This record gives sequence, C-alpha cells and structure tokens, in this order.
Amino acid sequence: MTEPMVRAVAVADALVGDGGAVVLVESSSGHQVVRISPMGQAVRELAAVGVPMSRLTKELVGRFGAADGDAATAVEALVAELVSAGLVRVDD
Amino acid sequence: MTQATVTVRALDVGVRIAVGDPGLVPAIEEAWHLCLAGGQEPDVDVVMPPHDGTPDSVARSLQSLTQSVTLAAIGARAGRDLMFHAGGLSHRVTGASIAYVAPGGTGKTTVTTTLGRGRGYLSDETVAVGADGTIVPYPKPLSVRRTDSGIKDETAPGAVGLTSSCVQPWLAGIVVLRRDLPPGAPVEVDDVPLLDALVMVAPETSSLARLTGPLRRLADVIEMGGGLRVVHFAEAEQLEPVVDDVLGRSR
Repeated sequence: MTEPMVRAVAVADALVGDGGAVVLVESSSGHQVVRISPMGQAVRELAAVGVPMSRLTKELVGRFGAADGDAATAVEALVAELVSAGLVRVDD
Repeated sequence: MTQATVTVRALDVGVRIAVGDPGLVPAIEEAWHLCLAGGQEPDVDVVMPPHDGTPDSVARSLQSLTQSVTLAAIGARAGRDLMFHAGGLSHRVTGASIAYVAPGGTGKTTVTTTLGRGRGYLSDETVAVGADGTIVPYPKPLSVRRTDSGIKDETAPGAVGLTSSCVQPWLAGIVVLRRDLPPGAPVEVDDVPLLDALVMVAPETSSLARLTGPLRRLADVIEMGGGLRVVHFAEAEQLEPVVDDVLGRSR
C-alpha cells in the first residue's frame, strides 16, 4: 500500500515572520489572507515537493517535540486543517 | 443633442460622468466640488443611473453614481496603489495623515465629519497609498446614511466645513476602527502584531492581489504607519487624541 503524500499547494503570495506566516490564497470568493502557525508553515516547507505522511510526522516531532498523545494523529489533524484552507493537498 | 457630462478626478483618475438628466448637473458639481476636473481628458467613463424624479430616487441615483465613480477609479489604479476601505485626514501643513480602516457602515463618514474641520480631508471611503507612503487624495462627496433608511445622501464636503489637503499627504498612521463600546466607556487601543495585522486589514483592501508582492507591500505600509492599532470607541469625538497623535508625527 502506498503511503499518502502531502504536497504544498501554490499560493498567490506568502510572507513568513515571527510566529508563523500569512499566505494569500485564491478561493471561489476571491483572494483570502490566511494566518498559519509555525508548525503549519513547517508543513508547507517540508511538503514543497511532496513528503510522505510518516516522514512529515517524524520531521515535525524533531523540530517541535512530541505532541501530547499520538503524534501521527495530531499531524493528520493539522494537515486536514491545511487542506481545508487550501494550503496543502494529500495524494493517496 | 449633446450628452451632459461632468468630469471629476477620483484617486487621480479622470472620470467622465454621463448625466442623463441635465437638471442634476448642478447637484453633482456641488457634491463633487473638491474633485471637479473640467477640461481634463477623462481616463474612464461612467453613466449616472436613471431616477424616477422622486427625491429618494434621485438620492439613490447620486449614491450609485458615487459608488460607480469609486469603482472605476479603483479599477484604474489596481496594481499601482494599496487601496484601503478607509477614511483619511491629514495635517494641513505637514501632510502627516491617518487612515482609519473600517467596513462600510461602521463609522468612517461620521468620524470624518466630526473630526475633519481644520484638517485636510482625504476620503471617507478609499485611501490609496503609494509605495513611498504618499497618499492620493479622494475628497469625494460624504456618503451620509439616513437614520430612517438605507439611503445615503451624497453631501458636499464644503457643506460640513471640510477642505482638501494643501500639501502632499503621507501615511503617518493606520488604525482599524471598532465602534463597539457602550456610551461613556473610555477608548481602548490595542497594538496588533504584524502577521495578525495583515489578516485583519487584507479584507479591507481593494485589488490587493494585483500588486507585485502584495503581502510584503501591505506589511511595508503597516510598518510605515508605526504598526496597526485597533481603536475601540463609542463616539467619534473620542478619537480626537488618536488623530492628533498621528497627525503630529514627522517623517
């Protein structure tokens, strides 16, 4: 079975700063500016050319430490949030 | 028969208005007296919406005309300036200016009419900021909402004592207005971190994505103004110290 790949979606513009980033995304209702956390920004960077979910989890634990509870579940939830914001996609 | 027209400069864009009812030309010229640009070649054309002759219909037509002129001007400047849904006032000698950002119907015109006398009137609707921080004035008619209906009366700035800026205005400060305090409560001012400021202000801009590097540009403008502040208030008069503070700044 192939592992899901997380890939960053191209955005109109992005600005990284202290405490994360903001991105300008195109949506059906026009452009929207979205704030993302440092961990969300790390996901986008790691997923720039596509990254398997398990490796993404390992990298995030390495950078930010282990989450309370199951790290894989926490990362999946974060990725789901980024998917709904149009910032990454998951290819099965 | 020759079509009656009035040409105005809106955000430094020549807008020629085709007026179906020539009898309204004096009213248009009065309301737009700080923007009249007779004899100049227009950049864009707009058509004044028709009316049925009743006072309310005429008022709605004049209101729609203002919106059409504003949209035409914004369209013409898209990709050049950062344009905020904001009112603006300037210091008449130094040009130091404040932009107060707020969605429609939340107090920009009231603040402008209350605090504008003795200051340069920049706009009650759209403040355009160039890459160097200079502001393109747009001293349009004040769109004064009636208390008993949604109609706005397009009011000549001069009728409420407002005059144009005498010198080149430049952005000295930018605030977001929130009229959400009960009467008598003191003004509250909150500083907003830059990234949060971008998210807060971006929805109150026009054609942001048409700029080159739009987020960096927006961040630069916010930083030029010393960072974004949210001002919570109850009555427009309470904002006098905030406006005084910003207009007292030097470059």
